[in-house]
Amino acid sequence: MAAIEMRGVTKVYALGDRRLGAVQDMTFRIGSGEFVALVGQSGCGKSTTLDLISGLEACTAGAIEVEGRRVVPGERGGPRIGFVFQQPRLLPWKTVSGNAEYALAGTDIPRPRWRELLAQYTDLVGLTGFEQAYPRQLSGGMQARAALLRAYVIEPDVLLMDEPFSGLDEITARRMRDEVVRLWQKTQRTTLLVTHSISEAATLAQRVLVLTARPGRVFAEHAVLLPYPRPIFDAARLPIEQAILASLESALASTPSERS
Amino acid sequence: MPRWDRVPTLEKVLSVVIIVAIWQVLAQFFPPRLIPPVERIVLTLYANAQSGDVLHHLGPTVARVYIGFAIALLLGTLTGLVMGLTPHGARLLEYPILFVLGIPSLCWSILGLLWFGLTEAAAVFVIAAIAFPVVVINVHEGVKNVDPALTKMAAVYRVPGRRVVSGLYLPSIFPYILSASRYGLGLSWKIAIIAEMLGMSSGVGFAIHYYYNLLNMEQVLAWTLLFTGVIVFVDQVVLKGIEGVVMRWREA
Repeated sequence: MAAIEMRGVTKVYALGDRRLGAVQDMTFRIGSGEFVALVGQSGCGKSTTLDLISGLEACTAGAIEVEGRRVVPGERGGPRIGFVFQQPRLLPWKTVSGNAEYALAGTDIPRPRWRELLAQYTDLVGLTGFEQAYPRQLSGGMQARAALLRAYVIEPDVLLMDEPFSGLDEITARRMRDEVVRLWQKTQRTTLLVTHSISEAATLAQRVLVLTARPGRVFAEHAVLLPYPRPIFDAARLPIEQAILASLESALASTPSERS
Repeated sequence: MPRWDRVPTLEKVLSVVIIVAIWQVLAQFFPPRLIPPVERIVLTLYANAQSGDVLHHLGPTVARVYIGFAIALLLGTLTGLVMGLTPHGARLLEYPILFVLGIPSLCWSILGLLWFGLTEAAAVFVIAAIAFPVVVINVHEGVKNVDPALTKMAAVYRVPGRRVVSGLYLPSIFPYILSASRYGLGLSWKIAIIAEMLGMSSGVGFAIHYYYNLLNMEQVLAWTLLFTGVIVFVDQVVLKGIEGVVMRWREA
């Protein structure tokens, strides 16, 4: 059973009397415990894809399954999604624990288990001692950790990351990427990362899916068969990154001209 | 909004001293029935407090204002949320609210007394009616300014609607509710005086009207001073206190 299965997913937005295709006949499978990256140019439907998988938007056509369960927007008790945004998106009036509890409130996890989960994942993301801190009291990196805590504490079926840490400085962002790899290795949670950075995709993911320009669909797939943890600069990764770049460029060149 | 609490205390004290001094100078040139000296106003106020008059009249006024404003705050917040969160709410309610806002305070007082007679309900109604649209407009504005990134976060995590309102919308709009309270309470105090003058047999407004009929300037000013003092106290101590507690996370 696939952790995420997209079958012929199409999303068309209606803008007045214009119809804008964001995603066109997108099909891919992500196995349980896999770490996959989705790369493509800006506006190619990457974020739309995450919105569809997380059930924020309904597909125009096709079907999405997460852990064998059909994703139906607005349905309670569907698959559990951990989401890491570009910015931490923490509630400023809630503490680190309060923000994590806010996500727990959206799950069917019984309250008596919350404390245990909070303790476990607060420790895992390295925020022990900061449970009662407000976001404003934390550095950017610590806020990113709090966002990771919120995503992990609900023990999600899949983790979706939309250009995470892009608001952080280079050094902190690198450290957070190492954290993501460490957490993934430790928890084996299926992770789908959306990024426009080829090197980020190749450093983190086992597989990289290259999308066409809008309306997006999978154009090519690259396996990154390098052991973790991966060094920041690695000559072995260079040919893979070059191959991904070549795919991206041909994806752009081959863009279908279906604009209705 | 100026943060007066950041201004050094010395300047605040000085501003009061200057105003009192100007008043005292004027009192030298005008008869006491127009401008009585400050000490006589204060002594009158003190005598009123001793005789129990202050409690007798201030109590009802404060009660009317708080009950009326509490009703306005509750109904106004609900209406503002409906305007901000439902698809047709804003378009449906915009004109009625503007219309209600446009009705002059004095008209509300007359309407309230005609509808409810010379009763407590009339005073409370008038106060609630004046403050209600102020609360609605502020809350609606607040809801419009809730960060869509946060609402999307709540949607992704399937946070139940009740918690989205209590954990996300209400804290987001709290500063708007606070400024509505500042302005709305200010209006409420003033309309309470008018309503009491027109149709109540107790309250600060009644007292001022009573002494106006006796042409007793010292009493009129003593009651005005008392009343203004209460308004400033509520704004500076009560509202600031609530703000400090609820907005704790900001100071961090």
